[in-house]
Amino acid sequence: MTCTLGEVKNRADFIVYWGGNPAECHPRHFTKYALMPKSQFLPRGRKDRTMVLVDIRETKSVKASDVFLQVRPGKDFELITVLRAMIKDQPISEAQIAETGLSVEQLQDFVARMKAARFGVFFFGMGLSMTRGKHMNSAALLTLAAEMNAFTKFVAMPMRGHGNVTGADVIMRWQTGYPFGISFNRGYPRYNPGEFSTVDVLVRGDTDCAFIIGADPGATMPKPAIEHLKRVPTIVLDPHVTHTSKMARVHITTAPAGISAPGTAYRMDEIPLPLRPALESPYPSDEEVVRRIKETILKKPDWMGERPQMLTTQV
Amino acid sequence: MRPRGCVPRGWQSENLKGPDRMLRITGGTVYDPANGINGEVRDLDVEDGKFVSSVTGGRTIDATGLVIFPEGVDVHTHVAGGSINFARAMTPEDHRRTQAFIRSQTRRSGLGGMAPTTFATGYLYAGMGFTTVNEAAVPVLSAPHTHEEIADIPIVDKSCLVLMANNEIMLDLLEAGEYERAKRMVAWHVWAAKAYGVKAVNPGGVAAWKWGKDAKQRSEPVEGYKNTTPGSIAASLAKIIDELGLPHPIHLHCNNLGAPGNVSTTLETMKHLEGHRAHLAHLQYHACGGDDWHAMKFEAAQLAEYFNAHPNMTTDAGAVLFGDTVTITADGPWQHLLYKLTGRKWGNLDVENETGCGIVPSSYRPSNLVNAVQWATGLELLLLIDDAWRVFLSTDHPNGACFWRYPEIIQLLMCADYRKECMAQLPPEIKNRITLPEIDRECMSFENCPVEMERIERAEIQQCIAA
Ligand SMILES: [Zn+2]
Repeated sequence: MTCTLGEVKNRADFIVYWGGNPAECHPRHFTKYALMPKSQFLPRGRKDRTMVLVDIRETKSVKASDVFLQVRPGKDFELITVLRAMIKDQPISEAQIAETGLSVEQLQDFVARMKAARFGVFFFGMGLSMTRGKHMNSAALLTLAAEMNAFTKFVAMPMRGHGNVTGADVIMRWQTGYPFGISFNRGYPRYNPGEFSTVDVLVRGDTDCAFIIGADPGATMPKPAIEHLKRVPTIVLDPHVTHTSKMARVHITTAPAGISAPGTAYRMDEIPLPLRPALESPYPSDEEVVRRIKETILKKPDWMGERPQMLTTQV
Repeated sequence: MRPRGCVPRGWQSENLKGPDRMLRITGGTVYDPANGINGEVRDLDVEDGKFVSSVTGGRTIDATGLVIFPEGVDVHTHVAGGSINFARAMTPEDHRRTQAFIRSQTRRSGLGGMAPTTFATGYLYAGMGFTTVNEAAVPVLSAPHTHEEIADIPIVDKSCLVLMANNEIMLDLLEAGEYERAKRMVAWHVWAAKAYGVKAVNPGGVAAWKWGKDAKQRSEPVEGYKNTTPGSIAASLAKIIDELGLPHPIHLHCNNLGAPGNVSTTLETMKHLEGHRAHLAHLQYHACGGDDWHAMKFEAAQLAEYFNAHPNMTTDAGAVLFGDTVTITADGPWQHLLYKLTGRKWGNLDVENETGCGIVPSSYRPSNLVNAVQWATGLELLLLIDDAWRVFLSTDHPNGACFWRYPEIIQLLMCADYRKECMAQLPPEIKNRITLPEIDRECMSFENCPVEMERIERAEIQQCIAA
């Protein structure tokens, strides 16, 4: 149940931010897509929209909201479940409502507003998807959005960020079927986040080489993972000197993508945006470096040997 | 779409020099209905991408014991773009249980299954003798993404169709009677999306779906408009496409997909389109009679009869095979209905300005009456339409079944006994709802059977060339 941001801009008259602080984390989100824009269907812009913020604490985003619902920390799943029952007029005990940290009146008002909307949208952030319950929370919210379609149009969308994460996710999916956490060690893609995710592979010390493009695990990963990066030959492609590049065996400086190197970035709603370089760079693009490395590897004798073309049953 | 007759990819004269311009294929059994060749063992010689009487030098392929027939063309499939990629994300459990392609020096790794990865898609199609596939639904906004995926489908030729019939600007222009501007708008979209033609999905219905509604009646105005009806959208688009001289006619997915009684909608649509070329997509889904799910029966015979009499139309079957699949379509309202019927996972993606797509994993079971009737109807359409040159084999991959199961359909078409065997599994209530048991046409015999396998494929190529 999702849509592109243009749909939100043109149609959404009821916007819920859940577990996120867009005022500080996605500062352009309000003005470009979600709150301010005027459109054919919402000619008065902000005045035609209602914004509800659901979060565990007051952030700068509260000021932009019409209604702020302060949910008790770790009780997002419970709140969503209560809402799922309330939209269908199923009985809910007062204790169950009290547990969420909100009052009956607040929730009744919220449900009434959801049902009165012509086009509702949930934007959910890390506050929902990365806290207790993790993907169960996101799944519950997606279900709530799906169920709201019995009454009116409703969609849900994650607030993703940090560079072109979405682009990597999209490409891995069309090439391998999976978004991340993929192992090719049997010659075909296998997926198991928690086993094949970069951090797990590094912590276990399963790799004998690391090739890092446009990321800085040295700044964010746990110590055992960083220790392993120091132990094995680590090659970094990055426009800048980073924590990782300082400990790497090789650092190749590349042109910054989108500024000096052309390409495509994917917006958080998976719409591709072509990027034209604004400045020239003396450095090669990431793409060029990877291609040249690949060409060199291909000149080596076939190290793969005899293997079947296809497996009807995976091992 | 650039069909190249029967010449293998890479053998076009512009790419090749010296002895590489020549190719000789020896000892194969050749079927070529267009040229009246029916199972002759003979040698084929190719020079500069064309068949010639003989060549000297060049490469020789020994095809002894193999069948040589014209390439297959899949006119309606979903193999690249936002919606199939969404389906891939929704079915990791299927990726794990399906066949795996292993990386080699010349091949990329990948996975088959309900929503195959791009590299696997190319290998699987090529393995069945298909050389051209047409991605049938591209929203202009994400066309660059679709083309990136298309570039990662190896071996086969690819083309795509841009979605138009729910474009708000388009609908506004038609509402205002601005026909010339609407025409320029279509031309711009085809250019911008680098498309081969135009697809119209549930005209007006997806636009209405954005407010949670659907367009049910062809003659009633679309939600939010006064004069524009689904019928007028389809007719205007067909006219525009003919006037622009696009090689592929309007590729129409009619309103009310899969709903009981929609056959009247489909017939009415066909009448609206008289005087224009039109391709009716996955006709099986638009052939339901009866008033509700219980009274549901399929009206393939009625549709086929109308179709046979109207040479302005082509169609593809949208056949269904029993088993698991994932359904994706730009028809959001139908997907919401399917979600309510099956209670399974539901993904929906609305794209601004034009389209939406819904994704629901589903399975077709012989014991389910509706599924059984759908299965029979797909085959009936392929068997009852006389002119094989106007009907394409398709399952609307992955909606009716995955494309790599086409050989199963070909077997069903070629062998009446096998069909009878399969029909024995169907529920007894199916009697009087289908006509399949009365059809004993077998698509094996070259002389008298119009829907012979090779001929279908030849027809597809011819159609492309003619189109
Ligand atoms: Zn389709």
